[in-house]
Amino acid sequence: MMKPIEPLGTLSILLLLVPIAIVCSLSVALKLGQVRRVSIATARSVVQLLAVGLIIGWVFDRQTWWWVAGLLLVMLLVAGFTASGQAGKHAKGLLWIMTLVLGGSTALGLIYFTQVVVGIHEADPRYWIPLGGMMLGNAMTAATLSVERIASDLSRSRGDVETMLVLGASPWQATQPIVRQAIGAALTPTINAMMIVGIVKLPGMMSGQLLGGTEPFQAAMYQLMILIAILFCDTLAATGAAILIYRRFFTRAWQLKRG
Amino acid sequence: MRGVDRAVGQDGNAKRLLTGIDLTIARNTITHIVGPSGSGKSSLLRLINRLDEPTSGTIEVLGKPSRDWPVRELRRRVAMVLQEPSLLDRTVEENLRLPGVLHGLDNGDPRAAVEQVGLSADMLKRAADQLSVGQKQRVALARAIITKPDVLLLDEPTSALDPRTAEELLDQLIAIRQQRELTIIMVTHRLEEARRLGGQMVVMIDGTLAASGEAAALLDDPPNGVVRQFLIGGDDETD
Repeated sequence: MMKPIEPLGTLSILLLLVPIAIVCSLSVALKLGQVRRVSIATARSVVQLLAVGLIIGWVFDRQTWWWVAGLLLVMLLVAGFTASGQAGKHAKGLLWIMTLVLGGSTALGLIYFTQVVVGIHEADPRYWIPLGGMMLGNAMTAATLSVERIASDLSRSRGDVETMLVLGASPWQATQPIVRQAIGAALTPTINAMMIVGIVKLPGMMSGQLLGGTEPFQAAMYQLMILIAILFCDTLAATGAAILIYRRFFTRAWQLKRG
Repeated sequence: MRGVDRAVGQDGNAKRLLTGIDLTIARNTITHIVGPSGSGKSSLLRLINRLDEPTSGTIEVLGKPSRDWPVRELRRRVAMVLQEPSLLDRTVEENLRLPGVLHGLDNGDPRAAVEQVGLSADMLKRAADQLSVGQKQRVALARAIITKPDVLLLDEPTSALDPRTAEELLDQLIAIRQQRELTIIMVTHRLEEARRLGGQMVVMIDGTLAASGEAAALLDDPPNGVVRQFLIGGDDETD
């Protein structure tokens, strides 16, 4: 084991404001109009990370299933709300669809990768919370992309879909190509990331482990596992969301809804 | 159709597309739906195979309320060619086999179907995306009638075609009707087509049925001012 990570104290945290001040000065000098956005983003990051640092620290001290499961559940609800908010204008009932899909895909991923692959049989939040968070966050992006793609393709290819309906196709038969493309599009960011991993950039988890003092080969192996876990959860979430959502764009009489 | 209305949008900014339509179309006839753009011609046509739902009123199709038909069966009995029909990105033959696959039917002979619309059988192996607009329209027509529907709905079938190709397509429609019983209901913006094909005519003005009757009689002697203005004032663009 290498020596432990240098702690960031109050002075170090205050010094983080210097680069932010430079970014804002640049924005003012070049009239980029980003000061407001940068300020809000910085403030949110500070509050959210302070809170999460404290909460996770608290849960880490407890080491009980209840607190691990409770924290994961809160993360799931926030992800469900966020995903349905982002894609929510497209169909009703998206909140429960998204929560169900994200919960299901993350649960399956967590169970397989923690129980079978790593073999964590205790409530150690060090594994459950970061792995669950990464799977959940990526699954959320994939499910949102998938739903948004279906909505935009259905509105763009209205004529193609109606041609199929007219020929006697069910909504599922009429939207199959669109659903497939949407799932493919939702997986693209993850697949692209897998293509360049280690060559163009070091992913967050590996960087974090390296900073934390993990031996580089093990950090790389953990990164490999998390990439595969993310691909797995993304695929389940994108597919689940697509299958549960497409029918909501049609009426019971196989009519494509308007707008 | 009895007292059929159709509106779209929410209560606040609902838009009425059709108002109080009463219309009876006899079997084995040709009916031309004409009218200015935005008058509700296509909206009317789309109710017949239940591609859209009326807001109120009743629609009976082939002796049964349209709501009582299983949707797939209704759309097989009442075929439709949309204004811009899209073909699958495959061969003509695969396009013609599609309705059979969707309906789980084995009937329909692609070779006979292309010949029926005046295309040669060696077209079957061609890729659909390499066809001209006129050829695509004919393949779409062949695909619509391959499952032997009782009613054929056509939404401006000739709007994208040059006059000669349009004329050929109309000739094919006449030929198809000579071979078997078929009720044709078509939206058109070319009034001379109604005169050429004969049959019945429905004039839509502003979402209401302004006049209906024999096409030739209506064209020769329009019954009232608005209809006269439209029919004699000339053709209109698509809607």
